[in-house]
Amino acid sequence: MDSPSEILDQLMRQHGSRLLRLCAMNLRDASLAQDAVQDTFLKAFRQIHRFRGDADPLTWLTAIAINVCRDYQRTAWFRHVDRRVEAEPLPAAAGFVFPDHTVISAVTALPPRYREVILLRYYQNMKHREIAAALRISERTVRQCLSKANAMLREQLKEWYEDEG
Amino acid sequence: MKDKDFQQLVDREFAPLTWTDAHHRHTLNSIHQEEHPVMKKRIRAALIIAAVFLTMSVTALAAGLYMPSLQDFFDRSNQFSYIFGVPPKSVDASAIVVPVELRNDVDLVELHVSQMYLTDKRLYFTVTAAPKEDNTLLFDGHMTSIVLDGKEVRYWHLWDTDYNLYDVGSVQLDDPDANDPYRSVEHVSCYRDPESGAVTNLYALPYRAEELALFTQPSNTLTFYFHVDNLRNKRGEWRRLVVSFPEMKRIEVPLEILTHE
Repeated sequence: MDSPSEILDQLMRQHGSRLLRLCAMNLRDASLAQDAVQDTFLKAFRQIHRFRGDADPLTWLTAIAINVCRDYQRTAWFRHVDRRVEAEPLPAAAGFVFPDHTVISAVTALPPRYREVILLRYYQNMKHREIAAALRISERTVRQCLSKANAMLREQLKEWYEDEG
Repeated sequence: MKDKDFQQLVDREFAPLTWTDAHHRHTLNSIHQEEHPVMKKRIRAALIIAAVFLTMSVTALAAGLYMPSLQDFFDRSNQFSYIFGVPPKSVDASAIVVPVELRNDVDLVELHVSQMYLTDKRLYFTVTAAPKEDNTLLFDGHMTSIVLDGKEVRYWHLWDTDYNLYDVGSVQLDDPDANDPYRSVEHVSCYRDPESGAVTNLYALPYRAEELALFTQPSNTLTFYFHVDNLRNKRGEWRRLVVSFPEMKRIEVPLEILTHE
C-alpha cells in the first residue's frame, strides 16, 4: 500500500494544475492560488486518514481547496483591505497575466457562493450532491444557487448561452 | 452553460498556469517535514489549563431564546453528518464550560458567542446570530419554516429576503503567531429558534496541545469574522466579533504534549 506522501505525490501530479486554475478563478489571483493549492495538499496530507476510499479524490481535494480559498479571502481582506470598502483584485502574479476574457470576468465577478457553485459544477464537473457536501449546504440550495448564478451570467453572456435554446 | 465548453475555455485561458515541478518539490518538502518523527513527552509541569473563571454576564441571549446543550448539537450533527468525510462524533464528557464575555459590533444582525466548552482537543463554541430588523432573515443552509399570511412556508434557502447571512467565517486568534492557515473551524451543527428567527451554530476549533496556553492566558481574546451578504445593495460586508476571557485561574494538570526532536 502506498504511504500517505506517495498518495499525495500522485494526487499532485494528477490534479495540481486543475486545482491551481480553480483557485485562481476563485481567488482572482494567480500568486495566491499557488499558495492555496500548496496549502490544500498539505491539508489533504494531514487529513488523508479521513479520505474515504470510495470517494473521488478530485472532489475531496476540491472541497479542501474551496475552504482554503475562503480562509485566504478572509485573511487577505483583513490584511490589505479596508473593511468598509469593496475588495479590489490583488495584483497579478509575476509572469502570468490574468485572462481578460468575457466569460472569465463574468464568473469571477459573481458573489462568492455563486462563483464557487459555478466553478464546482462547470469546471470541476461535480454533481449536485458532491457540491452540497463540499460546500456543506443542501442539494436544493445548490440548485438554487446554480439557477441564480446562471441567470446572472446569462444576462452578460447571451451568446454563450444561446446554443442551449 | 455547458461543462465541456467552460472547462476548455478555462484550461485554454489559464494554460500558462500549471502545477510545476518546483511547486511539487516544495510541497513534498513540506510534507516530509510533517512526517518527521515526533517524540511524545509527558510533561507534568505546571501547564496551564483553563479552569475558571469569574462569573460574567452573558447578556447575549434574548429572553426565552432556546439554547440547545452541547449534547443536543451533537445529536443533531449525527443526524445530518455535516462534516465532510468524517463520521459523526460524540460529545466529550470531559468538556469544561467556559464562561465568555461578549462584544458585538454588528448592526445588521446581533452576533453572540454564548457557550464555550474546552476539551483536550477542541474548543467548542456556539455563535448565535439574531436578526435585528423585521425584514432580516438568516440563512443557515438548513430547512427553515416561516409563517406568511397565517400559513407555514418551508424554505431551504431564503434568497428572496432583504438580508441574508451568507457564511460564518473562521476563527483567528489575536496572536499573529497563531494564525495557522491549516487550522479550520469545524461546523458541527446548528439550531434555528422558530420564535426569534435566530440561528445558533456550534463550531469546533481543533488546537494543538502546545497552543493551549493561548486560550488560557488572562485577557486573551478570540476574534470571529463573519461575512454578511446584503442582498438589497448586492454588497458583502465583513464583521467582527471579539470574545474575551475575562479572568482565569490556573491549575496544574498533567498534559501530554508533542515536541519535535
